[in-house]
Amino acid sequence: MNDSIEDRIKRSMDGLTDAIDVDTQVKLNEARFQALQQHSRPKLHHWLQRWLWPLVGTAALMLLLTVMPNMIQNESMQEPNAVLFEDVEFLAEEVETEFYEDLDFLAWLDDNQLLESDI
Amino acid sequence: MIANTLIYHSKHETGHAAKQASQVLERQLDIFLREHQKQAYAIALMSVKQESDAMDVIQETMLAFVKSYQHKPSDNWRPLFYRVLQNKINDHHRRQQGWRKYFFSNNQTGETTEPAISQDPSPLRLIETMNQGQAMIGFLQQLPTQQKQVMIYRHWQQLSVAETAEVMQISAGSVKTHLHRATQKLQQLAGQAHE
Repeated sequence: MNDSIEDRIKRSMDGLTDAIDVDTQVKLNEARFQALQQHSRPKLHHWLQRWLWPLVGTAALMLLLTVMPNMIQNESMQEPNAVLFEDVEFLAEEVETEFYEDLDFLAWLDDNQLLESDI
Repeated sequence: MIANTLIYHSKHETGHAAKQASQVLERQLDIFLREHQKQAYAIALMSVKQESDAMDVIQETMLAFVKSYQHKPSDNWRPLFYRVLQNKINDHHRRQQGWRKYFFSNNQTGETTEPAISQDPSPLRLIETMNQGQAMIGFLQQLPTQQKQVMIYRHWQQLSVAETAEVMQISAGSVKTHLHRATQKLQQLAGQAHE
């Protein structure tokens, strides 16, 4: 019991260190390996690693915010309106309707090179 | 033509030398960290008292040390490494205090919560360590944080007073005061245990 306080502290702390279990030692080795990996990486890679995912996330969010309102508008308003206007125009112009009805006949005339004046 | 060849070889040799120097530095860092990782973990464990927290502190310490101090002379690495460790331990305590304040600030009764870092070891742990013949660990755990850390750095890590002061970012005078008080307290505890 003539040990000094200093010796007892040293011995106790050495004992604590020696008692570290294998799992913890493995984790410590992994932590060291990770730290040293950082040393061997190029700086650009390190920068990219830090900022890549935040940048990708921000870009995806921006894209979503830009595209989503347009998609919603297209689905809810533009398509029905467009179809409605087409139908109204089509029905209003009788001449145009006849033209569309005779489209096959006119195509046949064109194929046979028969003009209206020749008939 | 000859000049270009010389420039090419010169650049090639410079690149090769830089790569070799980097490998040597990495090997030195590996040896240094391997030598100190268990001791650093023991210090962290004595301070934060949770194994997972101690491991987090060590990971942060190693990353910060390699990032910030790898190019410092290797003779200075030891005090710098323990200074980073000390900063990370302090950061951990600050985070813990922050969380405690956040969760308990709206306490309706106004009762104070437990202190941020208990200075006393749990009775179970104290009994365990004493049973293992390491009563001194239990005594150290009863010291205030700074006294405990000064004793560990000074007497276990064998840092000088100046280095201990640098690691803990306090004055050399404070280190001596903490040492004196801690020694007295430990002698008292050891005496009581002996009786």
